[in-house]
Amino acid sequence: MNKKEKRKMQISPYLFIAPFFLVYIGFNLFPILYSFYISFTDWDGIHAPQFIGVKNYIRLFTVDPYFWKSVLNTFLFVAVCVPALVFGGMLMAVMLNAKWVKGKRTLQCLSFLPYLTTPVAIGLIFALIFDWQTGILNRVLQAAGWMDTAYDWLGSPGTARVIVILMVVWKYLGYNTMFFLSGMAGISSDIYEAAEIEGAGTVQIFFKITVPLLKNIMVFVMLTSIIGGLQLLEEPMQLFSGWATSSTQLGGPGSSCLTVMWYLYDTAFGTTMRQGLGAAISYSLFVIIAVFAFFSYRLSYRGEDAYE
Amino acid sequence: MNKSRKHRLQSVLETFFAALIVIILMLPFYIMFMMGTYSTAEIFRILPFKPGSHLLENLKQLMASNFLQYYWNSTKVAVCTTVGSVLISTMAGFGFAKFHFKGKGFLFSMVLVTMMIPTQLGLVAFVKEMKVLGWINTHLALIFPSMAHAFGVFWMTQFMKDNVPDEVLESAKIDGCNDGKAFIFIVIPFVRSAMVTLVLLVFIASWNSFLVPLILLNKQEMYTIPLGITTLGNFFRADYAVRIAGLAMGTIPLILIFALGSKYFIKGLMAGAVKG
Repeated sequence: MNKKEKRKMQISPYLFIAPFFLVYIGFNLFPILYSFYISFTDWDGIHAPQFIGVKNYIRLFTVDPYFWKSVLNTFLFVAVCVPALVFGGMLMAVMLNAKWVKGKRTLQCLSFLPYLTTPVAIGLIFALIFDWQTGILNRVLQAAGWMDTAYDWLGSPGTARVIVILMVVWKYLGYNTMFFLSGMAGISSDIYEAAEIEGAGTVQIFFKITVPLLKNIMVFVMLTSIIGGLQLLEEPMQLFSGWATSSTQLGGPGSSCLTVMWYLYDTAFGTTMRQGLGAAISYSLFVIIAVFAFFSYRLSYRGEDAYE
Repeated sequence: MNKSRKHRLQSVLETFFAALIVIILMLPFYIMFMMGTYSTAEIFRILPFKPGSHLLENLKQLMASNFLQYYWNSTKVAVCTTVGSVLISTMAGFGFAKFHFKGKGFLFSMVLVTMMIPTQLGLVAFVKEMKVLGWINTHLALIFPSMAHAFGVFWMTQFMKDNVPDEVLESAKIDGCNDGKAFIFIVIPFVRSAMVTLVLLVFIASWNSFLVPLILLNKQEMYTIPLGITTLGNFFRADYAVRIAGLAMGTIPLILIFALGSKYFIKGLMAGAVKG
């Protein structure tokens, strides 16, 4: 009986995790590995792929007009949006969780609503707000007498980027706030009360108690925001796909909002069908991130070493 | 007396600032719903701060298009994806949280690594795979592959470690309850709030997904809402009012399920997130 019991114990955990791994290997892992092969080919998606070695990568890293631009744009968006989302989300959680706020639950739920909005709607709404001739913002500013001639927010690279950042922060702020709120609920109120009695101010309590205790959630929110940010595509694409931009340039004015994912989509499934190059784009981003992560890890590791 | 007055002032101030931020966040959302009640000409003329009179007209136009078909498609895809994904994640969470087995460490770190890898890395080959399988222009292609949800597995594992007592499982086993029965009758009731959390996250993501349907679907009758909306209007003139009304309509189911689930959603997040 003992032996039989043991065998059963061995099989059932595998049965429970099997569905996940079957779907994962079949539809995630396999395409990821297969894409790696495709990135070494010249392929239009219809005819047989031609193996061309690292030519795609050489092209991307040396002569391609858009690749580095899209990488830098993506990094810029990540570099601005991630800290804004992490610290903004935490600040908002503190505000929504403040002791004397009335209607906490309602406010918390309302702040989550932007996350429910589909990127298509977000793109359309923000285009309608920031449009040059008919946008809400310009009309309000002009009606109030604060602006004489309409400003083309979506037409200049700088403000176009700011709008994309606003879209991202707007959509994900309430979502991330939820995670911080849930973490703050786990902090016992005794700690806060003790700190208050000791005479700690609000700012001090925030930095000395709330932030350190939310470290795990901060890391989680940061990592998911970075991964999400690297895949940014739908919001900027929708922003510039409407009537709002007469320019046909890829990625908004001066390609200032072209992200890597957008460039990948456009190369492999949009204006051209160069799927080998498309696969190389996604792998190049991956390699750049991996190198980046490796060196920052090495640096921080050495920093710790020096102290010991 | 004095103290309660001070508290009341603080309460008013804190509520005011919290509400102010929420109102700013709500503004684009509000604009969407207001614009849905305008005609396209009005959208470009009137500031959308109060409701217009074109809602019925816009809805009529929507009904005249394929909108109901898109709605049905989105519902079908999102419901199937959610049921499959939450079930698979819960099962895997149970396997990882409550069993010791060979290769567990390696397999779980695979789940963690998967969370860190953008799925779009395999996009090109994924589309090719769908072509080979003949799943282009099917909803199966949107449903089945999204069922492997690494975050869901991670989430469920963490949640079960803390919230499903080992003693209950052990005593059930002594009473002759097998693992399958234990999963259905003991584990699931314990993790209901985490499942609701996951249901909401997966449903929202599936309902709003745009890129994969855009690449895989090219027959109008298969379109989901976000994709269908971008085709509304005729070839020469896009009807933005109808589009926005449609997008607003498309958001309503999400608002409803979020309103229904929000209590469990927050509870589920709290119980799972304490450990991060």
